Amino acid sequence: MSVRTLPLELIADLDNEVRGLHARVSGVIGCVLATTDGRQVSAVVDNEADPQRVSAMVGSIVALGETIGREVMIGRTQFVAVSAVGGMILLQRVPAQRDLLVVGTLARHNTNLGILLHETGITAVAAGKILDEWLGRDRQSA
Amino acid sequence: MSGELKLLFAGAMGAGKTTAIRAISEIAPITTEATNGDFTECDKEETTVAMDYGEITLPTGEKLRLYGTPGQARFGFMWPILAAGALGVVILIDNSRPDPLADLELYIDAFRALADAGAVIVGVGHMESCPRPSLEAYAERLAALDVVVPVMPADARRHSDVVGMLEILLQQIEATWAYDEVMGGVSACGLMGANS
Amino acid sequence: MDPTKGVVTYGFHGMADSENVLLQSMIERISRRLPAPVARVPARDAQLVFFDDAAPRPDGITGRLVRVVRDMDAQRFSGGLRMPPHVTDLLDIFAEFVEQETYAETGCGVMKSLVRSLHDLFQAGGAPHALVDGDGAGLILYPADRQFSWSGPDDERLLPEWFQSHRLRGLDLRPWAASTNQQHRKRRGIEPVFWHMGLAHARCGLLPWVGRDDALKMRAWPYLAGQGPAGAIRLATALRARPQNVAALADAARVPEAEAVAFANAALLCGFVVPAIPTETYAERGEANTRGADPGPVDATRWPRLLGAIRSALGISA
Repeated sequence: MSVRTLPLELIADLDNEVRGLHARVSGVIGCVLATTDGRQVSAVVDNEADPQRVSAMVGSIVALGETIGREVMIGRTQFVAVSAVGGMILLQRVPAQRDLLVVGTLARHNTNLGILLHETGITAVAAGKILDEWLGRDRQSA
Repeated sequence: MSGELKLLFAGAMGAGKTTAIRAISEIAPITTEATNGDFTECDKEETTVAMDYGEITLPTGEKLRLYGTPGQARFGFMWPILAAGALGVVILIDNSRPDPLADLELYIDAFRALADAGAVIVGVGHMESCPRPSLEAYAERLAALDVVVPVMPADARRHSDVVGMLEILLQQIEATWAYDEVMGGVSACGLMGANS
Repeated sequence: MDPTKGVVTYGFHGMADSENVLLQSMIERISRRLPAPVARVPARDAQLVFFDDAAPRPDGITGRLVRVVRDMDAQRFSGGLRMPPHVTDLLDIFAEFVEQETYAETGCGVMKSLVRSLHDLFQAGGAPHALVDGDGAGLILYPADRQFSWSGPDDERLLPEWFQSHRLRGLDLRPWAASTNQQHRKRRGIEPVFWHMGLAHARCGLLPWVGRDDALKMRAWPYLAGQGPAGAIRLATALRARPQNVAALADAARVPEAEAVAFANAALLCGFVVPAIPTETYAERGEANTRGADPGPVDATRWPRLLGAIRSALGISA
């Protein structure tokens, strides 16, 4: 699969999920959906961060997080969190039949971490369902 | 100073960085690979997205750490992180890519401080099947960039080729080190600080 | 031979006076059978210096050294003299010397003239020329494009032979007009031709327009270094580190000066190396040093041991 060949309706559905997360959770100032190899699929970012660069970094950090999880033998990594003075970002893989997407949620420092984890997870699952449906349709039509 | 010893393998996606590390590492390389989503750039199934890691134990007991960078320019943020304090960089170029000389410029620019310090070597792969650009063209492009670094054909799958590149890289580091000793300058290597 | 006097001068270093007297008398006795008159002079001024193999290496001597070995069973060997001396050995030593000096005066004349002509031709980017040998085989040269092609079948393996002394006198450089059936010959960069010409020129010293004290600077990596001389990679890495003259370069690379001369000739003709402007010699490296804010993770005094350890781990001999 090439990102350049993702159909517009698929990207539109994924966009809806990203925008939904951004809209419904107070304190979320950005959400990026990227391919595991670091290409931007969908992004909403309120500050000056460059979503293209952030997409690449999300891909790298999720891969690094999973690698270190394997290395220290604590099983499959569920998410990676970066906590900074001015905010936090949660990164995780989108659960789907194929490991193709990752999601990153950027939030203000006073955002409730539990809510952020929960909502990011919901978004990831929703994006995974959309992806799986598309992969299923794609397979049937092939 | 921590005294960490590391060498970096950089270059375009599919140029053979992971393969080169695998060829000389005494441990199975640790990789961070993801499904490649762009077959227009390279037809590999997977691509490195953060880094590769291998190591060699020296007779002194120290570890020589081998890092491979992710190749695509969008992962450029990783390059200075991995290059911080490196002894040197092996830049691998794939001559079958659409514009290998542009690739060369990209990576020389990224590792310019190390190149100026004589701690870079360029290995060009797939020259037998894709002889153009020639080594002469590489040497001339480097000269135009005002950089003099060794450039040689190299097949990253061959242990002897990888070691051959490192042999010349070490000679360069040694020659520059000897020169800096004479001049009372700083160490030529490990020039690329984390902030550079 | 001293070209102004036609005399071969010889001297002694580190040998007993009795041996000096013995050798001098023998040389004088055979002098009429030698191809040139001979004269004993102080070792420092001599063209041929007989020196005791066990003595310290003589300093400040520029002549050709002839090692004296005290071994009755030793075979005649190049560059040496068995003691007690054999008349035939002495005759061979002087005859070889005169032959080589004669080549330097005549063969080198041809070589230097050819190198100068080709260099000028390519500098000017002139019209195509053919370089033809006595058997009619040739190279077609395209100075404007810095290229060449073979006039006969392509054979890269012949290039090292092209400028050897036995072919040199037969080489002729002449303007070339393309015939229809020769216009599609495969052209390639001129550098391999220049590289081998530079190596061959080492018998005659540095290129005529380069001085022994001239500092040389690397402009582009000499990717033909694999074609010789043996120490070319070491020489290239040493010259890449800093501009220097050939003697300093040979020291830095730990190779004989003749190899440094061959490398310098080849790399200069190809344009990989250029004479350094004196002010460049040290200034450029300062830029590299200031670029890195981090002085590096390794204490500089550890470098020799560390590089040795890395080489050992990789199975590389220094």
